[in-house]
Amino acid sequence: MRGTSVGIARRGGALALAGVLAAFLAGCGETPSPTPAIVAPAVSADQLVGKWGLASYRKDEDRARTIKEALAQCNKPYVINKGPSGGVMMYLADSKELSELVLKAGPSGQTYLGPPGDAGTADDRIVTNVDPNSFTTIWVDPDNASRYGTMVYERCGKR
Amino acid sequence: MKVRASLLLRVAFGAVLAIVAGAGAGAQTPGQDESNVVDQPGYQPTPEEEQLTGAFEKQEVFFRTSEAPGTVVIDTRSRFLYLVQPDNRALRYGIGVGRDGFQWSGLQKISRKQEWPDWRPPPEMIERQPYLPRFMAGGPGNPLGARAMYLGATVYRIHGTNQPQTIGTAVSSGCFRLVNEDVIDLYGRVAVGTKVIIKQAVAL
Repeated sequence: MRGTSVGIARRGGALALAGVLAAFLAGCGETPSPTPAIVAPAVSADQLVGKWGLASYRKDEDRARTIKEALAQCNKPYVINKGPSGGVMMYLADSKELSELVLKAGPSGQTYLGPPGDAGTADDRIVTNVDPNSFTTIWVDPDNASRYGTMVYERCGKR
Repeated sequence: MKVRASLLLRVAFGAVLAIVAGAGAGAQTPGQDESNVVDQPGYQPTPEEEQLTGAFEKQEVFFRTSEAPGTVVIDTRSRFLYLVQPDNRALRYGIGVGRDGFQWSGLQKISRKQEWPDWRPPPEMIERQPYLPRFMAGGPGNPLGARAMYLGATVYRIHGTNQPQTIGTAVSSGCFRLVNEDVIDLYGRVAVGTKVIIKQAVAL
């Protein structure tokens, strides 16, 4: 008797497991969405290395003259060197110490620049308008974005 | 609250920097641009923070002077700017002035006026805060505030501020700062060519 009851119990357990699996499969009847592909950022660290005139603005109508002002600031350049791990050495907001930052592709196709890890975190900035002699960054953190505005980097000694 | 706490930390940090920087201030040449010490570029004060109270609130006062109405008289010791009115009266504004070693006196004229002036941190500030943009287009949060009135051919200005808590203090490199509401008011009342008298103390 004892062996039978154990057998029934085992069969019951198997059925329960099958039920859970069935329910699980039913709930996932649609094709599971694929794991997001890791896309390489559209910008390389080498593109950011160099000496830059750095200026900021908040109103779009100030962008053109801010770019000119950035170029005029090359006597006080913001220097970006390559980091030991392949990133770039830059300052985080309000930090006087250089950190190695990496370029990261965000899910919506944006390129982020920040500490290694997920894209789009508070220490990141979004990189836009990249060409050999210029790029623009916008802080992800709203407080940083509000205080520093949109920052434009213009290469000192154009390529 | 987190943002506010972080801002307070920054102000405290800036104050420490100010003390450190102030120790060597005597070796610097007066006349450098404003904003050597406790600036918080980009910080936008709340309306409550910008509301002055007591003596530093804009008010009409008794002011006996032989200067013509329309003249600006700055009293650096008392941290007041007077705009002379008829009949021994003046509009008095609370101001922030140059810290020790950066106060000066003289006679100037307003040579230029600018709405929402741009800001360029001086080189020594870039050294201390290398993450700063070297140019910040005018607008809210700009350390020079809403208006600037340039004094003759000097680098000094009467300007606004994004740090209303510095009104009544000596923190600048020789410029005179008012809260934005007051500097907008003053800007509307004075013209280029206005006589500006800067004194260490004004005898009323």
